[in-house]
Amino acid sequence: MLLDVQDLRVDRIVTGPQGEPVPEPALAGVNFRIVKGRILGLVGEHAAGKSLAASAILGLLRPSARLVGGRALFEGQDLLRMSESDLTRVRGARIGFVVQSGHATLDPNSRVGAQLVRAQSIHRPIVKAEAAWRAETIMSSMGIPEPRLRAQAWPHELTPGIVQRVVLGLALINEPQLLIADEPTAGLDITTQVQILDLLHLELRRRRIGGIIITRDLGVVAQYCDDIAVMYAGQVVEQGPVMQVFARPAHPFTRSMISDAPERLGIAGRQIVPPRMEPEQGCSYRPRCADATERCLVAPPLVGAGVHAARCHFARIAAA
Amino acid sequence: MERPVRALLRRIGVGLFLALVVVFTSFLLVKLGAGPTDVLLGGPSPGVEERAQLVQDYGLDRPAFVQLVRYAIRVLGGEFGRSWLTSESVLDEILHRLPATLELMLYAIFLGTLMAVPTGMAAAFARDTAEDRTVRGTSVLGEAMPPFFLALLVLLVFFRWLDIAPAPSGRISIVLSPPPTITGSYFIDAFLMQDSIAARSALAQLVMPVFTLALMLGASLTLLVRGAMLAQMDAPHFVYARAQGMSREMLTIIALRGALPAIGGGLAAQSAALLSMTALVEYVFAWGGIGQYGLEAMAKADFAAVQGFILASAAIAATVHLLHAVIRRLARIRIRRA
Ligand SMILES: Nc1ncnc2c1ncn2[C@@H]1O[C@H](COP(=O)(O)OP(=O)(O)OP(=O)(O)O)[C@@H](O)[C@H]1O
Ligand code: SF4
Ligand SMILES: [Mg+2]
Repeated sequence: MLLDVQDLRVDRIVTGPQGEPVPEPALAGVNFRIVKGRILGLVGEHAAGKSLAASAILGLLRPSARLVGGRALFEGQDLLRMSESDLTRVRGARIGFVVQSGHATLDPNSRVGAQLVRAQSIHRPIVKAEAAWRAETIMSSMGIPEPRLRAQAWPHELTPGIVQRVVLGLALINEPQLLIADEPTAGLDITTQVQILDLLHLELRRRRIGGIIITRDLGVVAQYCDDIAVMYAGQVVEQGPVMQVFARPAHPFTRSMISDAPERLGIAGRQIVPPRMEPEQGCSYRPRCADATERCLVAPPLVGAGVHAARCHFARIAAA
Repeated sequence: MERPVRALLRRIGVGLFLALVVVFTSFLLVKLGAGPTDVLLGGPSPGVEERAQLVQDYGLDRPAFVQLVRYAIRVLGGEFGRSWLTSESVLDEILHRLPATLELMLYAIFLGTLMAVPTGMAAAFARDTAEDRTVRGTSVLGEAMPPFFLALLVLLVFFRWLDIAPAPSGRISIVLSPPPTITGSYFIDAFLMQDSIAARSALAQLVMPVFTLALMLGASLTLLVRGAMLAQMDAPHFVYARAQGMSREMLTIIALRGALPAIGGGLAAQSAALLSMTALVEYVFAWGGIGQYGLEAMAKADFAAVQGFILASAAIAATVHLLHAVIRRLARIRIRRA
């Protein structure tokens, strides 16, 4: 087990009617696990809490959110209970993180080569020339033509596709054991998206590192991931191997997602109303669930054993 | 032509245009003033010859447009007229008093920046904690406080209670004579003359007015620095920098470097507008710079002097903005070459 997230709970601090801060559950017990060398696709609608979960694991919550509980065991150590200084030794060194933000992730005030050198210097003493050489090497393995020339470029001089390759290079340069890529191809044209995902997939496999790809595109999951975790309203409602889940989706939300993808996932630009969290009223999917019954007024447990599980009273998990 | 040069020329062009606007405004001030122009310029009861001289100098018997052109030509030629109060040349008086004001402003800008930048940065890193709220509250209070009141507060604390500053009696102790003029700053001139007694006295006199001004400038600058830093810290590239495991020091450098243009711009704008506050502070501490000169001229309706003061403050503001433009351009070139 590379990463085991158990019952991760995060509150969002919203402004109440009198202008006072009110905590509101945003992650209501998230569970998922990643086995070494496998790639997990984390999917869900807009505002389901995918990015929030990734940020919480790495201690990167903004002041508008607060960790409430849970565990995130990374190689046996609980990331949620680590001190900030211990966490800085994990971030970027043992866990690479590609932040969801289109192509605004590079520091606009330094050259890309210098950023790749700096990324190495954060975690170990470096020899300048060697670090520069490694920077060029990783740029060329990220498929960037003329890396020596590009290393001298400023971020704004590069195309979004090249920038995203540099960002991937930055996340991989310290040879992490786990890479979390949050919408790594958002805002890119289709051809570039495919190229970047192919590259990401190849690098994860070649380096035998675990990966989490956060996406709203089930196609991406089908093509590049080994496992899938489906999030709905701040919970993982189903997790399992991609083949198994796609063949026999156990949760009604997963089923509807598969049957009317891609619109349901908001890919085609359709705005989905963020799901409301109703913690006291049983299953959070109940208001939209076609299969709901009286029983669903009680919160459903995680049903299923082993690799495939779903959070629904009526989930039937076929034995693998 | 090279681009930086062209941009600089454009700035100078804009500056000249603004200078004309200021000249026009100060002309209007007198034209629209409550009374005949010669009376405004010549004081309440000008003599017959003085009056004839004014009519002659300013072309007061000619149409308003001609008067404006003449006035502009006079001003641009450095002829600011005479104060009816002192019958001194306004330009001479202003040039004579300018170093006192500049000294005050420069030290206050330096000290204010020195106080504001670390405080604003610390507040940004401690966002929404008690420290942050304290810094914010104090700054807002400092910003909202009338300059007069703050000056009196400083006087009370430094002079009456702590007794570490001398009485507010101008730029140097009344029993000492000012050092010979080299730079115009009493402290620096005395220092250069190796007159340690005069230097120490000049420095002691500087404490209260400089501190008052620095507090006022520092208050709004602190909020500006905090805001600029927070804008950087919310940017995706900063989150990404954290995700790379950067230490607090590296993150500070990244945020500060990104925030620098905003901080520099704000500092320039506030420095350019600092003269109005300086004037009040000068008045309280009997500093005798152009600010006090301008205020007293206003109180006594000495319009030639008021015009001179307006032109001088516009010149100071323009210089600050030009300096800022040059520094920004140099910084950009330096970053490009780094
Ligand atoms: N790092 C963070 N710190 C604090 N709040 C966050 C953070 N990331 C996301 N949030 C908040 O958490 C809530 C859930 O949104 P989140 O971004 O996790 O959804 P998502 O599943 O990633 O959706 P999308 O597909 O649109 O990216 C939102 O209100 C968002 O503002
Ligand atoms: S528990 Fe009930 S409401 Fe929830 S998903 Fe299952 S059937 Fe639907
Ligand atoms: Mg997201």
